[in-house]
Amino acid sequence: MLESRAPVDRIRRVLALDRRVIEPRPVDGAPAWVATGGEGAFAWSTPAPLAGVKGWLVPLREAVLAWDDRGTMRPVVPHPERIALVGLRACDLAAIAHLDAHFGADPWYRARRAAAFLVGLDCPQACAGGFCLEVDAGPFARAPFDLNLTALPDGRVVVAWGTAAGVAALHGAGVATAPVDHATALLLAELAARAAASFPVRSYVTRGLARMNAAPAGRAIADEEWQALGPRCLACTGCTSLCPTCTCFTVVDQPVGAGGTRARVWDSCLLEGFQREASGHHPAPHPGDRVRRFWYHKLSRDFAGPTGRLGCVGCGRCDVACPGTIGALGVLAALGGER
Amino acid sequence: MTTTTCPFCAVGCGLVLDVAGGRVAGVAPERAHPVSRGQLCAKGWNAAQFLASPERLTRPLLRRNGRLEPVPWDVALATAAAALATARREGGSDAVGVVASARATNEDAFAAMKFARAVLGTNNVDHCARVCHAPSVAGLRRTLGSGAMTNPIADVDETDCLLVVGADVTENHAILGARILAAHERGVPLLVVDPRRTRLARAADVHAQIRLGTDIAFVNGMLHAIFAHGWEDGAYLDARCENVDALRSSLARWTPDEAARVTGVPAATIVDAARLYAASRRGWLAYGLGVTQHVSGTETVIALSNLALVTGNVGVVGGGVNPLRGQNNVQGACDMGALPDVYPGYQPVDDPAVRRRFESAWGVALPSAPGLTSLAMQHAAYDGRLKTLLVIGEDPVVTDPGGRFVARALGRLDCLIVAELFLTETAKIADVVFPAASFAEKDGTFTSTERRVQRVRRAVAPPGEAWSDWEMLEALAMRCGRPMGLRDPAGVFAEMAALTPIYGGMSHARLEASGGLCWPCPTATHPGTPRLHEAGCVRGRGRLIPVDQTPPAELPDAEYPLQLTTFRLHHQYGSGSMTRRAPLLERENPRGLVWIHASDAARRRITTGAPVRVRSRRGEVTTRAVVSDDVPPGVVAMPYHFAEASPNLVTNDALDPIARMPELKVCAVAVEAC
Amino acid sequence: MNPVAACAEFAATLPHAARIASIHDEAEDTRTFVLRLAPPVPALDAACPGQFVMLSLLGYGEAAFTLAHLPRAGAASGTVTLTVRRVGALTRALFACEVGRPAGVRGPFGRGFPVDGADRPTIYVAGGCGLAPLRSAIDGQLRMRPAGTPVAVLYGARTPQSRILRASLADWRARPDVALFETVEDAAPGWRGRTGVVTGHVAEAVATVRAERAALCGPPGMLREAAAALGAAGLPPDAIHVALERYMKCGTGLCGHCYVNDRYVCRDGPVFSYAELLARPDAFGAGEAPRA
Ligand code: SF4
Ligand code: SF4
Ligand code: FES
Repeated sequence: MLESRAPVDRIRRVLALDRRVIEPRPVDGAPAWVATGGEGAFAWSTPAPLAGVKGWLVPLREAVLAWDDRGTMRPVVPHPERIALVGLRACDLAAIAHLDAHFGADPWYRARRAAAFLVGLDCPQACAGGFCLEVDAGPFARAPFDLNLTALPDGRVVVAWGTAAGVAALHGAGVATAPVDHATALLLAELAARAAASFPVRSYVTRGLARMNAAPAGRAIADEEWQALGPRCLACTGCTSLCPTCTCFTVVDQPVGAGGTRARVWDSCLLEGFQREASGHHPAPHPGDRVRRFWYHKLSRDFAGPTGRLGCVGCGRCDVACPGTIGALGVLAALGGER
Repeated sequence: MTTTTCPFCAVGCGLVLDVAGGRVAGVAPERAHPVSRGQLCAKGWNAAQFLASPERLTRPLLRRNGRLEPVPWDVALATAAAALATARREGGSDAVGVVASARATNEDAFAAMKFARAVLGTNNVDHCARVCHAPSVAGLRRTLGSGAMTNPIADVDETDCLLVVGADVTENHAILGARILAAHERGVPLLVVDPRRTRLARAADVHAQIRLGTDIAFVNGMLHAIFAHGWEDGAYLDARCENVDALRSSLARWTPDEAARVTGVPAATIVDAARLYAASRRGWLAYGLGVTQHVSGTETVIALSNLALVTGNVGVVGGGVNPLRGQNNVQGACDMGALPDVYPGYQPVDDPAVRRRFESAWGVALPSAPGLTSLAMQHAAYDGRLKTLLVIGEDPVVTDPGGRFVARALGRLDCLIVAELFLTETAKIADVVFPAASFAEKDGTFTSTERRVQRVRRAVAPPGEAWSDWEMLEALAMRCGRPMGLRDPAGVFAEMAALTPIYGGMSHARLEASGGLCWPCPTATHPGTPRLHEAGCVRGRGRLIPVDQTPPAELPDAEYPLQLTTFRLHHQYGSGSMTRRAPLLERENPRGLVWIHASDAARRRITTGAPVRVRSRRGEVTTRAVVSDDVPPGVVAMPYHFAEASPNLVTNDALDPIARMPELKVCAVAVEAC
Repeated sequence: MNPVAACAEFAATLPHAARIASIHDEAEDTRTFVLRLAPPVPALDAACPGQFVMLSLLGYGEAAFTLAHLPRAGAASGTVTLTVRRVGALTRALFACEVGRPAGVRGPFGRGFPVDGADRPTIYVAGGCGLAPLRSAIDGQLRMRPAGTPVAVLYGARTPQSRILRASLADWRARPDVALFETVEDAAPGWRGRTGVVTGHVAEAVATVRAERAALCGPPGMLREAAAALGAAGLPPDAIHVALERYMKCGTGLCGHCYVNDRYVCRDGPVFSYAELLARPDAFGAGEAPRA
């Protein structure tokens, strides 16, 4: 526990000595992840930016292979910059747990992930459009973080460490931490309860999730319901681009002169071309089939990661991005009989 | 992190470019943007992909021994300047011309306009509005006094009825289309007039699936029903319109039955549509290229204007006559006077007072006769009257009708100069090619379809030696011995604003805030004008003009029994030079494609994916079929983004007599399996 | 991460260098390509029938192909054999290649046909190009089965000319210990085999060899019908092994393209038991749920 917020700024500056410190700051009126160098005071109350941090761990375009004019192939080894992402909300951390599970064996991901230091920040109350509570991903963070911060109303900060690197950072900054005493532990529990109570009651979310997970897998919901939602998807790729747990990519070869590079590029399962086979056969030919598949991946227990949590972490980004109003809450409202 | 404006369609969404290592590493929507509110279409989401393409042009190219070879800027500029000088010496000022770009910034378009008029001394300057919304400008100027979208996009949330004519909004203006769908889901009635069953048509309360090119008959049928049932807004007509009786009497023959006979839509549907639109307190009418790309384009625009005026829907919240412009800055390119007959702000070149003002500002004598349109320039090139042409960021070989003719005509020029991002089909036949900076690599402004002027901001440096168009034009002007004095984008904007009353109160500084300002904005304190004609029409009274149905220039016959129409896909843009370099967008629609109804397909033994040949009197193209009920029997439809299967090899270049717009939306074809 | 180990980790993802060693026409639009690996790749020689590789053509990307031929157990061929139909951009490019053209091969990937059970009477059902992936399984069983174990091959093609692997077909046709059923949808004059889709001949083929298990490969519609017919002919779902195909981009369970409900075809398949597929409504495509 820290007696005030000031030591957090010291930690940020120490992290900035050998990392790029990236934090939410308002840019042109909206919060964005910005490299701050740890300068200035930490923006405790800046809301979570619409664009998440996925791109630092899984870039939009990741070159994996290069070939030369003689056809000799070599892997493109990334040299990721050391970064510290400071102020990750519980949903974003839960999403990183998903990425860890999915890409854990992938050397590109591992290199980038190893270069990233994660500092969480617990949410004192529900954000607009967020429903992490209903999907067990927040509002208070669980692993994976190096450090996690809970601001107490009296100005003190509870800091938790999740890794040896986190402990080392605390030591490096020379901040004095006191153990959390009983009274503070009670206060923390009360804060967590208050944060949980701040979420609006959305019974359709519970109903929708229950229908998604009723046996047999994925068949409790009539196909017509999905086909009715299908035309609302314009295939803009907004949901999948913003979703912090979306991992699908395509692979493209880019010839340059006589050589070239092969790169992974974020893909989107809402696109018709995503699963279209060369023969013309399509296992998900209708937009409704693709909408169903997407939400099955996000909301069905079949895709719960090793943490046991759903593929959706309740960040609400897709509800903002979806021009067709079928983001997570939009879809749950339809499944839960609310629209 | 750079906040800017999306470079694709004309909705004008807010886009945030994420920059890492000097490159655009990703895009995100601008959450606080007043129009797009945190959303983007597939093109916007994929905007980062083409920027980094290794196929970007990075050095000027010059044709030597038949091949385009990289040369220093100096050499390219000198060659271009010499070609322009020779052409002017031999053929006079009108032997040269400029085709400006509807994709570049206002600053670029202004520079192109000024270059043509002040440096080359010609009014031969135009841009692609000719093939999209020239009829809107011509039609609405006559009826209302201003050729632009009257009401803002936000009025979709303020209206009681949505009427969409000849526009595939969810695909071409996705963020606006989605807003229409959302309003409809909230219960606002939606009427769609379209020969194709678009996404909106499938959702609509009324889909009037008219025969191609029968829009006027349909609208006149609606008007007949409106007057017959007394659904017109009499008070509004008395107070704000003129020529009511002439219109009313002209409608006598357009009974719903007669309209039904011509359009193929049941009379009851026509009356229904009339009732829904007229009985709603406010109706937001939008239309697209399905209206304008016809020989009767201007008259159809007038018919729609009649409809809106008769129901009291002009100059009111939630109403309007709203042409949906196609390209990101086609509105701006028009506003900037990249048109043969007007200076910036639609000030006529043949008005001596206007001309004197520009002459004194620029210190040169300016030509007084309107110049040639871009299609007329092609014909002049073909005839040898036009000798050197500068084409900026346009690909007429792919986008203009009669593609083979365009290539042949441009091939006859003494010198074709092209400024481009990529080696497009048009650039491939050029003599000089300048590498251009993209939207992410320059500062400036775009004007969206709702007249919203917004900042475009430089996020990264242009690749290699690419320049902004205005920089290239200034350098070329210097080479021509007549520098224009353009120094930076803010300065270009200031010069333009000082000469353009509708932009008079704007400056880059004032446009910093998200969402910018809508013109007219005449003074530095004016808040901008999201809605036109609120205090009466710009021209005074709204003018009702009787118009009559003109059939398409080419009708089907035994030899060419089907009608071909063209359309655009959500995942492609223009000739595809940007979108086709985004792997997800390029994958989404297999190239080419012609949509055909099952009954027509069966008769020809055509199945989805099968190779087919589409023939017209002008040419033929081989592509693949999509058997679909998106099109009615007798109609086939092709998107025009794909150079390897361009419908413009077969489309008709018959012109609208008023706006000189080619009839891209309908021609007669034969389709067969191959 | 130690830098050398790290680099090795990346290098391990590279395709193995290969060159096209021979090209052989099978039928219209179908060819067999033999690629020689330099150096040889033991894992590829040890692959199981039904496993697949990702074939790279630099500049055109990668695509998944099931191994069409495997060396005898323990033998080292140093080649991979792929039978390919020309359907998309990559296969078009491949068909334009000549012998000697460099390429890359990753794999083998996935779960193939079960390797044990050579002693059980088996029916192989193939449609179109699906015969190629089954051939190594068929040859494997013919090599390993106790003498007299009945084997039936039921092969359906669109036309007589579109049949592939005709040398293997001729071989099986000539052998008394293989029951070959050939059928075509569009019979040409002179065709003496059966006609119609494979489904119509499943019951007879099963009965002929008293099949206890089955292996299937072919287009999704055929798989769906044939698997149901095999079930109806009395084979238990867990004895019917179906090779699925999906558009694939990675082969290693990362890119997400190949999923079927909660499974990845590249990692969990491509061969699934029909019992597994019955629980996965999208196995043959949305709206085409497998039938019990
Ligand atoms: S599905 Fe939507 S709410 Fe859930 S994690 Fe993804 S973006 Fe967030
Ligand atoms: S954000 Fe909405 S419209 Fe866009 S791809 Fe996702 S579901 Fe479809
Ligand atoms: S092919 Fe990539 S996950 Fe299966």
